[in-house]
Amino acid sequence: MKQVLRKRNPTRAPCVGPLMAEASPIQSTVYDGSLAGLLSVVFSVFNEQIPITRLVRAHRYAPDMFTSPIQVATNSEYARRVWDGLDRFEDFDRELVLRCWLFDTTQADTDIAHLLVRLYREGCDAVQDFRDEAIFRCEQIRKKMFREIHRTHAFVRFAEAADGLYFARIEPDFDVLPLAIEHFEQRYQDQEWMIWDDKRKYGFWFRPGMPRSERISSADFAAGACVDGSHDLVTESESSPAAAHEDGYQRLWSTYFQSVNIAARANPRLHRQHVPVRYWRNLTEKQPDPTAS
Amino acid sequence: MSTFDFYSYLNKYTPELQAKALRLAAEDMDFARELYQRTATRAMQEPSDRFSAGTVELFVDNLMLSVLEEMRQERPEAMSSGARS
Repeated sequence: MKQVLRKRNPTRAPCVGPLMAEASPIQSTVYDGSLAGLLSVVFSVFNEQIPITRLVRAHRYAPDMFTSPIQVATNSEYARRVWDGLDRFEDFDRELVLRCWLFDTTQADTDIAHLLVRLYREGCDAVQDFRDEAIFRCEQIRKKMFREIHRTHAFVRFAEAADGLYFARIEPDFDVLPLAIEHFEQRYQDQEWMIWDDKRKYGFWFRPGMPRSERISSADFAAGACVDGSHDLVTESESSPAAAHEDGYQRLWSTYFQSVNIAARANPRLHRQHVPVRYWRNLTEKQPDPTAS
Repeated sequence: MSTFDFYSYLNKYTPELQAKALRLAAEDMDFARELYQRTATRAMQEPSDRFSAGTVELFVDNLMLSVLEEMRQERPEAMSSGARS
């Protein structure tokens, strides 16, 4: 009897189910919530053979009566090895890891850890295996974050404060500021500016001559470790001290928008699609004109 | 834009859900553990567009009741030991 041996195609990733099947999916792996912590979990999967379960950031962990969580301590050396190891996968975009981590949900953390484990086990082909739901969700997160970064680039409106600092307030759906900030660093190198994420209570502060912007949080303000006038800008949203000529520039900007608008071609639905209403609060051109009445 | 998923729900409501399972299992710890694990595992397998932050509680309650029913059929002795209807 002739035996037919099927040779596996080495270029194609094997169809494997979710790695979560190796353990109870409702068991939690708790880490400190940092990127280094997430990468330490991936390291532990290989080093200590821990199963991939639901990855929960420590501040979100709810006590569990039935199962005890797996605790993974952050180890920067291990994290560095995982991060540097990604260099060998030329087709893999490391920004995907950042995007999923900044997406800041338990599912995104779990999915990206799952993706990294598969990447290390099976190579770059695994990242394209969209039959795997976790990998498919990572791809969706990539797109969602891309859109939000693009909108952040477009919808930042600076206002000049009394001390010459250009200040902008944003409230993106996802934590995209660390990924979007490079665009502003390259574009506005000769000005002092700050972009503040009002939802997550932190921002980036750039001063001319600095190579990169500095991350500032509410705690830094409380400790008095920050700029003069911007403290009021961040904490007192309604009564921020603006530069004397700022009102004039804002009126000019609004007038520009009114002038280029063709009323006969107004399409509010399309407009809301391109400029969602949730961004209007921080857009100069969407503020009511005080001189209109 | 909603970023709701069942994992986030579990982060917040694990104790509540486990207490519910324990109540339905009439304080039988093993029965409650399995009831909770099956419910949570099944909820995780559902696509996240099946429910939203507003409807997830109803969804999970229904799921838990159907799992309870299933477990009762598997183990009729649980009926006699007091798992509630």
